[in-house]
Amino acid sequence: MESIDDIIKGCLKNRRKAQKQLYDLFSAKMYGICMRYAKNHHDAQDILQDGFINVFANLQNYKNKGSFEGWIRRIMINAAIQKYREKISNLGVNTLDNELDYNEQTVEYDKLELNELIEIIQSLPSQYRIVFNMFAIEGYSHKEISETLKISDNTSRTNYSRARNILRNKLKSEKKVSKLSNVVLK
Amino acid sequence: MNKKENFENIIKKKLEGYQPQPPADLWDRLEYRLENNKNLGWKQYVRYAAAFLLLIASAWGGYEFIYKNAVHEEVAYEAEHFAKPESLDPITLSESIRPEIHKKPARQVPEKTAPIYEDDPDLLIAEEDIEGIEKEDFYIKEKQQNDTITEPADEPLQQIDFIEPTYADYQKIEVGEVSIHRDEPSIDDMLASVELVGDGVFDDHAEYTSPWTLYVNASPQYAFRINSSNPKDLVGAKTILEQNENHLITYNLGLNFKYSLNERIEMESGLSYVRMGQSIRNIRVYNDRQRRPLFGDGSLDFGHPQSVITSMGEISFNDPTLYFDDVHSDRVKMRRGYDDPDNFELREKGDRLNQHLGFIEIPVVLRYNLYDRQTKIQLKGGVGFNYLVTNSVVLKQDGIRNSIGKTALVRNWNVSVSGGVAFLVPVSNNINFHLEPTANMFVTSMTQGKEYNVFPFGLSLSTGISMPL
Repeated sequence: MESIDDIIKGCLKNRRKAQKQLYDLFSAKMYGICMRYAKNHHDAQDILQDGFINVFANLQNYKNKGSFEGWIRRIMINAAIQKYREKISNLGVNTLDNELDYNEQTVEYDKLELNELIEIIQSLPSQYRIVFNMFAIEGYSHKEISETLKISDNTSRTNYSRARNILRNKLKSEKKVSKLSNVVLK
Repeated sequence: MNKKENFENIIKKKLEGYQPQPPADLWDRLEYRLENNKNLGWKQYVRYAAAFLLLIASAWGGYEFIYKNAVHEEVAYEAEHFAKPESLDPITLSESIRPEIHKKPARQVPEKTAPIYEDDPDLLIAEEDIEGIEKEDFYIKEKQQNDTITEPADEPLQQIDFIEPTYADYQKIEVGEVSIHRDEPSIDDMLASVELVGDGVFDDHAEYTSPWTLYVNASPQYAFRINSSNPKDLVGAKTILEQNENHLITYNLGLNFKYSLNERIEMESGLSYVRMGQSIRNIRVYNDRQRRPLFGDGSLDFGHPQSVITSMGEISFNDPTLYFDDVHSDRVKMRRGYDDPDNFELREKGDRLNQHLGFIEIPVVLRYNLYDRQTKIQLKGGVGFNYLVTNSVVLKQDGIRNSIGKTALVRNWNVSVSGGVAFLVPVSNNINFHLEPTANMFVTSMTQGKEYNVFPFGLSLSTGISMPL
């Protein structure tokens, strides 16, 4: 197994084998991130592809400062945000209030309850979902989120609050509480 | 507050371990995009810039070559045909007095002039000097026939102002029988040869023909394709595909330039648009009566999960209101996770898909003149470099053609060879009509698919006109 530095060097030389190794190394972890940001697993696959394309195209900009995984993770999140913007642009309307609550039957995973949690996150309106992910999971501040998504600081806070309430209600109504935590929603 | 923090923390902790495996074919799709990605780094832009500069340089070089070559040949032709004659050969003399090269020579007064014939007052002494030829003195005796000219006497001749004769002057002169000293050609011969030039209108380019010819052609083409299966084709895909695919009549359009290397051989190149395609049978297409999207989240931009395998590549679709079903075999691929199409209540929309691919071809063709009379017969053969420019899949129903997708895994660059016979029939002084039965074939596999290779070939009947530049 080659070291990550060797793999990066191979990718910089545009060697397909190295690119495949990099993909094998990070695809599962990054796909998990993409699934959280996407509306469904098809969008997640598109985001993962776009993300890796950007990784390979911008690898020369990685300066060995900070973790490489963190760098790839940021690229994947940016790809997800870009995908969200494209959707908004294509539909011509803000999908915040009129998105369909679409839950498709996806691939069966071993960890069903985790899969169900992902489905509930995916059922959030796009902007809520992205704000929730960026704030609750990635740890961005509302100021950073507002700058990235070009929304106001207050909108970011409101979106997060609503996303959180929706998640809680859905988890309650679908009786997933006990599976997640008996403590959280009492 | 604590509960809220716990909520985020628990979800975060739960999700941190979430690492699902992406679909197995995702890397293949990513690799395909990597191979075709147009924005991968600065090198791509350098290639674009280099290609652009090469195009500009080629266009400029071609212009310079054509223009300068034409001028050079014209000059060479004139130099060869209109140069000053070594002698006073009547033919060359007649040509040497063409106006544009008839430069008035420096006037020279002979030190010793010929004497006037004392006993003949009508004798006219003329000094002739044409086109830088060594000064020649002609003694012309008008109205006195059968006279002879003797060597000049020692007495000085009467000097007459010399006015350079014009072509019209030559025509006006009534000439009797003249003899010229030093056994030079007679003036009759010279004047007769002047008359050969014509009626005073000089057409210097009458005999000059440019080696360049413009050739514009259009042709119907019947395109076949050869599938060359490889050992990986364990399921007999080749047979299934061949049973369900029909050739289409398409067309070629070309704008080419021909250059005559010599009397027998011409070289031809330019740009052509080559369209080829095939019809896919036994794929039924359905849709909802209200044309509602059948897949995804209900949006029209969701994309389409199905694809159809053909010998020319895999068709992907862009219209989520359509559903495809293979009634013959398993050529339709449906990705996992989509709604079961059996639940749809659909109407049949059509059952024939036409695949079209368009290439810009840069041909390099040699033509050999087999028969060169009024009608020409040529053998031609060459190589073509084809770049994919259009790619569409069309569904035709009720006379309406809708583009519903495109073929994936088609190589952008392909090389083809061609050969045929050309019949050139003149339709006017400079224009020839061409009729050229031609066969062409790709020598590189058109598809990037790994299961089998595809080498399309076609028969075309090219028609066109050519004219010299």
